[in-house]
Amino acid sequence: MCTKTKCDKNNAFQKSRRKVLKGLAAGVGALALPASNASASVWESFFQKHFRELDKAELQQVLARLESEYSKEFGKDVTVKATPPIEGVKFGYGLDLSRCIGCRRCVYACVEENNQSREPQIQWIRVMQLEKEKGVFLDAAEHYYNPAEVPEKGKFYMPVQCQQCENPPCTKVCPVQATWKENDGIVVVDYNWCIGCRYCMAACPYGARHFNWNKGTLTKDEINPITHYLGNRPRPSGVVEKCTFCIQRTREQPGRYPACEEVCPVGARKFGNMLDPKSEIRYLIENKRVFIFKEDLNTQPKFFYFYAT
Amino acid sequence: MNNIWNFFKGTLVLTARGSTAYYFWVGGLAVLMTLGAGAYFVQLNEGLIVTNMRDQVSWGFYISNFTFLVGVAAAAVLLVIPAYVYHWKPIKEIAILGELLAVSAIVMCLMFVTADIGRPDRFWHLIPFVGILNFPQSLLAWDVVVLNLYLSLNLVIAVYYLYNLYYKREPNKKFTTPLLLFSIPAAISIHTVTAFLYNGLAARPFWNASILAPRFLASAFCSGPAFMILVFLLIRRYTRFQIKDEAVQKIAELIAYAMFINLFLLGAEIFKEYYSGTVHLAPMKYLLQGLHGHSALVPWIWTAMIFNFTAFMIFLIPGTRKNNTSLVLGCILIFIGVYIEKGMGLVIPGFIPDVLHEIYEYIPSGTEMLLALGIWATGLFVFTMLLRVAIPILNGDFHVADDGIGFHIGDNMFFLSKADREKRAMKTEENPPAESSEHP
Amino acid sequence: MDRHSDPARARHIASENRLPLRDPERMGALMRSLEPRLSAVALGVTKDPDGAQDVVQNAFEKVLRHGDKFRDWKVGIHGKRTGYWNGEKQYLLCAHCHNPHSPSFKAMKPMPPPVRPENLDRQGAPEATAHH
Repeated sequence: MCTKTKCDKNNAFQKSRRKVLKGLAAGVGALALPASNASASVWESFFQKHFRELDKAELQQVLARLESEYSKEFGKDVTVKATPPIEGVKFGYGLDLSRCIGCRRCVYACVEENNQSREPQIQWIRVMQLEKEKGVFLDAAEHYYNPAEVPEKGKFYMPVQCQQCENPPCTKVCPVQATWKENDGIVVVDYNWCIGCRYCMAACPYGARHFNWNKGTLTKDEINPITHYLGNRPRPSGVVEKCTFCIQRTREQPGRYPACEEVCPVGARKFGNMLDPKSEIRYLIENKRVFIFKEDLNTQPKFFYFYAT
Repeated sequence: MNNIWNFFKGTLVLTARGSTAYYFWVGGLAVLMTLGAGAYFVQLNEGLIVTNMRDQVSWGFYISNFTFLVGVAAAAVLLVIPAYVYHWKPIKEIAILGELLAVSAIVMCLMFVTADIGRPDRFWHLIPFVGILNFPQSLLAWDVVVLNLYLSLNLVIAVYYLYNLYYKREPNKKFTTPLLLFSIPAAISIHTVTAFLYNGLAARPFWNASILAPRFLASAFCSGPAFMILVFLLIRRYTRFQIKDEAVQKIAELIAYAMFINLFLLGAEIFKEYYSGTVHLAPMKYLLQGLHGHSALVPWIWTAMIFNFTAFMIFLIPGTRKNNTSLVLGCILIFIGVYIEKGMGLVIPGFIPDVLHEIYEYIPSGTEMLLALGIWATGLFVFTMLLRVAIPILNGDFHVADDGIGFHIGDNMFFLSKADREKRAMKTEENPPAESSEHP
Repeated sequence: MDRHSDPARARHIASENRLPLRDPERMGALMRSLEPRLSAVALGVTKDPDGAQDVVQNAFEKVLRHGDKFRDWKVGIHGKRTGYWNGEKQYLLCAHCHNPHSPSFKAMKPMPPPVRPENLDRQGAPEATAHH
């Protein structure tokens, strides 16, 4: 742990390191003159520090720079927030497997809300069609089902997205700490720090993490302009992304439900603060038959599958 | 300063001159390097989508090559251990060549990793204290540290040793011996860390086996030394540098032991998966038999198995081990066999079936293969250049001139053509030189 | 109001279950046959489920015998909710999703399956959407 002298020394070192990086950015930015704003921001973005190292002023600068970049790129006003976690909140998610009909409306609502690339397609939620006889037996899972109507007889449906684990295997393996777990339990990615090594994707047991194999497409009409730095802002090429429990919605005061929860036509999705004894999620954990996906891996997800009936 | 400049001038002369074969070799490598650079340029422009890697199989050909080459780099230690720990003279003189192979292999490893990551412009995020290196939690962070440490170590030892020989000075044992001894655990560490990188992922049952690190080391000790034997035989044939038969035979023996352990551990893995018959059998089944109609890797892995087993027999039986032709065949078979088994044969089944049991059959794209070829060419180029300077120094053909400043190059036709060799052989009959000539 | 939580959408969901919502006369007759006072509340999204509770409780106990689903609905486990997880929420009443004469949820057409990884780089091409 950090002793006083060690912490002070570390702080002093971090301060001088920040100064150097700031100086480098300013210096190289100056050298780029007479440059347009574009190349100055290219250098700023190159030298940008890790999200957790930015002080208040630097964070405002970064957000402002991103807002102007996105607004220019998409021709409409895009806002980028960095809303911190709410005190005393630990998000949990419930999914009622006795209700899900596999309609995939959650998948597409998520795509719209979270600005995922349409081409190549990125989807943060994957719905598996399983067989009632075999239960949660993934060998019999069908990912590309497309019947005329769902639910099909004898089948049930299990959507999988980031489980926001308490003991995440992905954050352990990131070589640059570009992904970490926040205090409200959401596992986030700093898209400007990720180097795209994809080790976290190999480590995730739920296939929840997705890669931007190129820049991707997102048009002016498709973009949701209300974004969060760690959530649904448009991602650059070569970085990893994943479900963030709609961090741009859920961290507001009052916080909105995630898009997937809201759009589900059968009410199979439940969301709330696990630390609130009166929340929906607490009720279902305490009263329903709840199970954890791949529990033996001890990832301790905050995603609880249950059967209401 | 003048001295160092002259040394560099000397190396330039050495590398620029050679036989026709040398020019063809280097020229060919340069062409492949250019093609590889072109492929990388395409990949930088269009993104990694030009590869066939996708979310389901997020590591592919580049990381397969990386894993194999870390093993080759680690195997340089196989030459160092007998030389310095057991004071075995026949190997001592050639241990340096093993270290130069390690340097070239690590250079290739670093290039493969750079080719694979999505944001090479953000490489500085990995540098400790400048960026944020997630050490000690992330095994990749460990790999960054130990690979660079091992590279520096081998470079320092080799350059120091050769530079002193160039100046006809005896290298200071107090400096070299501790470093050489340290390179033994360093070599083991690079490959153990790389094995742990895969081993620690509970999400991937094909890799999440304790046997992975020992298997890595066993297969590394087959592939690297096999390559070195081929290099030694070439050096023996084309230069005046003496490499004793005993040294080559000892290395071949050690390869036999290593391959035995490799085959035994493989057998252990196969037994465990097939006998227990859990769902985790699926990746091994995909590899060895095919799964749900997908069997792209099956012919490759069986070729590798046959190669490995045949090579094992060649190295085991003294008769075939001593015969140069079968020895060369054995080395080639084992190198290819381990390349397949430890490259694609290890990395890809980890992703097939994926964590949600989907099967996406991955085969490298043209761009990936071209870029990989370019990186191999670069590594071979680096190795050629290093040898081109090192062998004359070790021979005594390249050293500081009598004035203590300039350089002297004796026999600069380092890579002789057949005609030249015959001419030289005739000359040797008439006038036997002071040093003995090469073995038949 | 965002597109996921407005009453028009709720009615659309209900209509997918073929309730005669657009025909007030028929709808009224249907509701009255269940419970005289239910009709007034059932046609709108209410922000106060407790007020509607007595009405609905009666209906359940008299006709439908689904006490456990009713209890689940009260705490938000059964049925859809929109709005704020720590603030104002929108609820739906039974008839919005269930036709009392045919209560089981009707099947619907699923949205398209994901693009297969082998087709990721040629999504637009016609052969990419062909069946495997």
